[in-house]
Amino acid sequence: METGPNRDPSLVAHAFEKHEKAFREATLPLYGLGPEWRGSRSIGGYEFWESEGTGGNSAGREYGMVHGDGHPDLLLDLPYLRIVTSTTDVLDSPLRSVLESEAEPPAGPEEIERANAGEEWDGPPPGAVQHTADILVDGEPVVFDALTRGPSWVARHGFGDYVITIEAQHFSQAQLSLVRITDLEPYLRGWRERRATLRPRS
Amino acid sequence: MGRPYARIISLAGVFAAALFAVASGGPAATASTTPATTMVRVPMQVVGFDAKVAAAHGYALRKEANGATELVNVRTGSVVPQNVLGGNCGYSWYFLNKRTAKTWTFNTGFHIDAIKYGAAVDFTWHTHVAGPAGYSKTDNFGGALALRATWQSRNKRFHSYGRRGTYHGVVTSGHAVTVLGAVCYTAHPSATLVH
Repeated sequence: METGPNRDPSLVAHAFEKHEKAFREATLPLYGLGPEWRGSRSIGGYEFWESEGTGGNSAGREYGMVHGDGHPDLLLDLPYLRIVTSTTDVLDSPLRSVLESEAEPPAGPEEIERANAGEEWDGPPPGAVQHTADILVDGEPVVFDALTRGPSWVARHGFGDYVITIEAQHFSQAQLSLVRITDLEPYLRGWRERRATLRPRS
Repeated sequence: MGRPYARIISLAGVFAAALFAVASGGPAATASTTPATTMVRVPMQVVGFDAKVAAAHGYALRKEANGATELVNVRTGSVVPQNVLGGNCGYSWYFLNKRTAKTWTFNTGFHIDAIKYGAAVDFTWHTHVAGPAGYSKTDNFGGALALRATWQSRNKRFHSYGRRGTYHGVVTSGHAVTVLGAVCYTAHPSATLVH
């Protein structure tokens, strides 16, 4: 990745605006922890993807809601729980990919090259345990497919029109209760605070 | 992957979580108490090619329209894949992988030196795969990132093969905007896969 000497603060302001707007206009239901969670909350990334060409076109998107003061690649030792709502096409992707890309520390380039020397993408990675997790969603018990390795774990369940995926580090799996978010403001406020928290010191 | 022709320099793409300011939030009601650790990574990155070394090994450098420098096998004329490419603000990668007998997948992404340039808040990423008999597949990604040093599509997407033969894929364009206002561009990593 290459950059020049110039910096453009207007791009950052635009990105923050775009981030908040995506959540205000979300086209999928957003889920978070209920009022029993007294830690921090924040919107946590919006992403879209699309494929075109031979074999047809497809598209998808996701919205993430962050809970806790941790961060998957900047603050590795603090509790972090991201509840992601996405389109149903993500059910085709291996849960292993979610664990390795969203809930574990980022791999260096040599590690990335090593990982790509293999061809097994659907099974659990070395040291990981595949299991199920009982999680309450809007008060109803739901069985999620889950994968845990060390302090990191992910869980996923399809709900017909959308999928909920949980990405976590240093966060207990016990007694998790997800509720549909009706008031986005605490998450937007939390995002502004989190931005200040995660700034580089320089 | 051995690249004897490449001048490989270790850059200070150091990633140290401890260097980020932390303001403590509310009590983490269900947090575990795993002991804290500090991770420091110093990745090796390809930052350029030495034309003389390349020529001595039967390769030549070719400047592409997208600005990328590709390494070409002089005898066969084929482009040599460069899966991981670095630069002054991080590195990006692209790998093509077999998923099943009928499908392929890819692992692409970038890592920003967040200590120096700030973490990413916005990105766009475009890849293309060309294969036998006019096979053509484009994958586009974009969105707002919540201050991430790394973004990756790690074999999450997959597609069906066309005819048997060689598939060549590349990050055609992509950049990330960082919280400090830098724009980091990919150096167009590439890969091949034989079906």
